[in-house]
Amino acid sequence: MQRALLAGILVGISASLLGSFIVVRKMSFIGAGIAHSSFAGVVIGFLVGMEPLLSALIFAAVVGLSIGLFSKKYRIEEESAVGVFFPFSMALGVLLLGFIKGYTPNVMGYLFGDILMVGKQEVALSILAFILTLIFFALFFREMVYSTFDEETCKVMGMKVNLVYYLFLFLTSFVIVVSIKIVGIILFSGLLVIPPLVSLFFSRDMKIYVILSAIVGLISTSFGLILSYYLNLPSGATIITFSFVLLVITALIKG
Amino acid sequence: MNILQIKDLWFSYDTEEVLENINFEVEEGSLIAILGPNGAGKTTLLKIILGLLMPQKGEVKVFGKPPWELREERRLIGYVPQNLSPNRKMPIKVKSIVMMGKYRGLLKLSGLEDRQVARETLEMVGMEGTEEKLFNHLSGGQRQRVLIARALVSKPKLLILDEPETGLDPSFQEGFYRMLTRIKKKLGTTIIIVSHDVMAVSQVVTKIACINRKLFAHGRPEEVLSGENLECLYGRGAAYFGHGPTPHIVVKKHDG
Repeated sequence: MQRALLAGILVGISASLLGSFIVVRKMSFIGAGIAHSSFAGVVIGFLVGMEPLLSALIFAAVVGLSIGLFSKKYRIEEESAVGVFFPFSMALGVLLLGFIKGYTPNVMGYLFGDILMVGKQEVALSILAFILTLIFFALFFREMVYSTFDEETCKVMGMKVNLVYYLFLFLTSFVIVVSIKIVGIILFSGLLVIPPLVSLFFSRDMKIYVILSAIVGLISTSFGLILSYYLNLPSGATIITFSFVLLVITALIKG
Repeated sequence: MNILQIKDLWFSYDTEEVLENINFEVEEGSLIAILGPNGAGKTTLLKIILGLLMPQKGEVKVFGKPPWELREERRLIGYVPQNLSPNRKMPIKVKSIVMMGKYRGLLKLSGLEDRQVARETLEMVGMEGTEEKLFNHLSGGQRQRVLIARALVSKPKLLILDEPETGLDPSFQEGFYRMLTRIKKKLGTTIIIVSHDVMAVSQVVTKIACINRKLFAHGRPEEVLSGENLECLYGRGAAYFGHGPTPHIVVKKHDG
């Protein structure tokens, strides 16, 4: 439980930090798309005998960057690019699942999260994800704020807008993969989007908004995991339901 | 010295020709207006000058270099984009937006002095005391003024404005053109303004470039704003009268 709690809190904070920009950049669908695409990665891992999290990371990162490239190069809306990669990756995952011989993986665990699957490796990965997210924010916070506000002018000023954007997508893919065993592929976008939405109700400044998102993410994952432990409920579903209730209460009070 | 040189410039989106054989230059310290109807390619031309788009053919030089090769010189350009519509939910303060104009690069943080300059620039556009306000709580005209302040805060050598009058309240509009003239004189800034407002602009600019895919005319306002050129710009039926010191455009009523 302690292991799951530590890993959960760290990915909860990381996802909420990244999610704060996902929300104001109107990229929520991308988060869901990248998360779902990791399903094919997990299945490929089982099929070829590779660590599923590693293959999921490679696959999610490739899809994340492809969405970025696809929309920038062909001037297609990001939403449409996600609309292509999201179902394709799920379809590929389902098709490949049939080819796995012998031991069938715990598919439900990957889709909806299962803290019993959280081991030392997941804790180490969640610490890494957390540190990388903090470094990214320390280095590129201004660049992220400015390019979210007005990307074109940032390019005119010579800002490395695309580099920061692709790093952001890559990091999001990484945090998604690390979170898979805690909240699951399908539920992950809730962790990415709900805490920032709660925070938006209270924030009058970007710094406060991002920090508050992280705090709400921390509260959601820790309370969600504790509740799931004591009430014997599935971890991912409890975290997301808890944060949803938090959002509804906030909306009722502040809205 | 010319800050901008454009020679034989052609640009198309896929197969649609947007700019054809554009030639003109902008001298240092001048204030030039680019006029033309909607869809004439004015914004595309600005984006080429800013290095955001690459032309298929021709030569463009800003500060003596192709715009896409500019590095440090980019800091010498101030830009006011057209119709900026950031997410209305984004909680960003006016002071952060103005400070954006002071961006110098990765990890190069701004100092107290920069904040003082930001305050003074906001004062210059009549937005003093709004530093702590949220951008999205401002009116359209106020937002536009903040964006103008952001472009001015770095004391640019070249200021490029894409229809900055959009949304400006009439009371500020008149003062706005005077402000541009002041900036030009005080800082020696070269200003390129894309505009719809032929009348107001023609009173303050040194030169006008009339564009409708091609460059129809380029020169001093009184030379350029002839009936013939206006017809090219705004279609048949537009007539121009030099009526006292203020030029007017009268558009003939269309049938039906």
